[in-house]
Amino acid sequence: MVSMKHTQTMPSQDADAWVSALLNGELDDSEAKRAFSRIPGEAEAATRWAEYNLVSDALHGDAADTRAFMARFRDTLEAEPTVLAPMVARKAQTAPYLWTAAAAAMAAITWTVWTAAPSDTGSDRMVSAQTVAANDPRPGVDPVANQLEPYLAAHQDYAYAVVSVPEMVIEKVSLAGPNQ
Amino acid sequence: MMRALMLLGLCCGTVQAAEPLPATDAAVWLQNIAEAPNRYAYQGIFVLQKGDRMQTLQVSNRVSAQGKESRLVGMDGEQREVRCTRGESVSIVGGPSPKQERRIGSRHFPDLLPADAARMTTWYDLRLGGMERVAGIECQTLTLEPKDQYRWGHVLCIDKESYLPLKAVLVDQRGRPLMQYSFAEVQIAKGAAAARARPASLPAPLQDAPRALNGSAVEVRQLPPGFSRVIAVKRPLANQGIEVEHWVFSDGLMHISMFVEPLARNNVTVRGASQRGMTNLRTLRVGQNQITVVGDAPPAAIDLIARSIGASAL
Repeated sequence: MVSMKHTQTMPSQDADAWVSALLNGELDDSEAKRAFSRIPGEAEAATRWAEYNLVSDALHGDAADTRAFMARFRDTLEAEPTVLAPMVARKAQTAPYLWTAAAAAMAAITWTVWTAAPSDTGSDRMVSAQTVAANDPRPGVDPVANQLEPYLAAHQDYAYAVVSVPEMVIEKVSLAGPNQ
Repeated sequence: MMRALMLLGLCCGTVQAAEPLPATDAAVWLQNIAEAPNRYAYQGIFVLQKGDRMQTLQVSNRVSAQGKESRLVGMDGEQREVRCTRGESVSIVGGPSPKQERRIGSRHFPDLLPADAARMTTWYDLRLGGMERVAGIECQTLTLEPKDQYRWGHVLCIDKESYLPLKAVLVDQRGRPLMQYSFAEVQIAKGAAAARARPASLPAPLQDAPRALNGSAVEVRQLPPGFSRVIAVKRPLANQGIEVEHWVFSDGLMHISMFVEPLARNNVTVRGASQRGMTNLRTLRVGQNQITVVGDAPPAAIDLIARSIGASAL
């Protein structure tokens, strides 16, 4: 029998800090459960939680009003602190608004692109690298993203049924270049 | 064993040492889970969390003499509804003038396992964990730990009465969560009432629906162990104005898509991975065809398929 041992303690910073840490997945299991249980009882934390989720939706183009759900979800979390299992606990470098920064970074994708010799067999040989920053992988911004998105959408529609937009964001792409 | 403990510990809090279930017991668990959506009506709201994104969906499922019928409604983002009945599935997108699309798959959370789920014990070890509470219901934690590098692991929390998954977490080889579904609220109708449900009707047949594939310019000579081709159709691709072949390979839990289309003049050959490495992609050229292999599977599985594609003898 093995039991999880938690050595980290719940950050004692203000609501901005620990709600941000929770959303960043920086809290370990027990800390996250405590954080979830605190949210419904602390007005400032509940407000931050709702705001951060709305910011995320806006960043991703999902501008629908989710306040009603978030209110019900907070109630659910109060009774069900394990509804959302926490991410792997990382060593906390807790800072306010980290989560919103992470969400923004998600939109500002960095494409790492290698140019290489083409191959009929599909075995691409990477010979050099350059980094291309794109503020948005939507049409008109990055030609590689434009090409990949319909495939991702079709695959994810088959696999999950539930996604309204491609959930996957290709972060690293090795590019073999146009066929010659 | 340590990886199993990591999976349970990271995803479910409580860690209990557990040996893999004997294959016969594991097969019974999997089969019961696979059959639950065909036995029980349920309705509820679940959350899909993937990376830093969260999506909320309403789901209802009922059982009729013709089989199960389900309906998914997105509660945030774009208006979207998916109706599945008698093995067919249609998505309806948009508000006043909705656009209907025939889907080629009809499974969705919590209906995650195939009808012949017992065979999956060949590729996954099953371990029982502790009890959890999800959506107010006690559930049994169950880990599916892959036996090779070609698939991700899963941690499920199963309602012990109905065997319906109340929570499902996809985890990588280090036990880190990649994606998870979890009911926030759910009502499960346990009993015969569900059988009296009237069958729902699907919208009229749609144009541009996927059609069966008869022959292809390429073939896949090797698949990861346990994977088989589950579908191969010709379908339009959104916003592309072209028709492509869409093949899907699956071991029952994991799905990998392969798209085949005529080589474009400015095509590129790329290898890609999503932020957390959950989804991997590879494109390549085979003869005069552009191939795209993409799936929520480890790179080893994607690469094995990509390396195994050759020109068809046709």
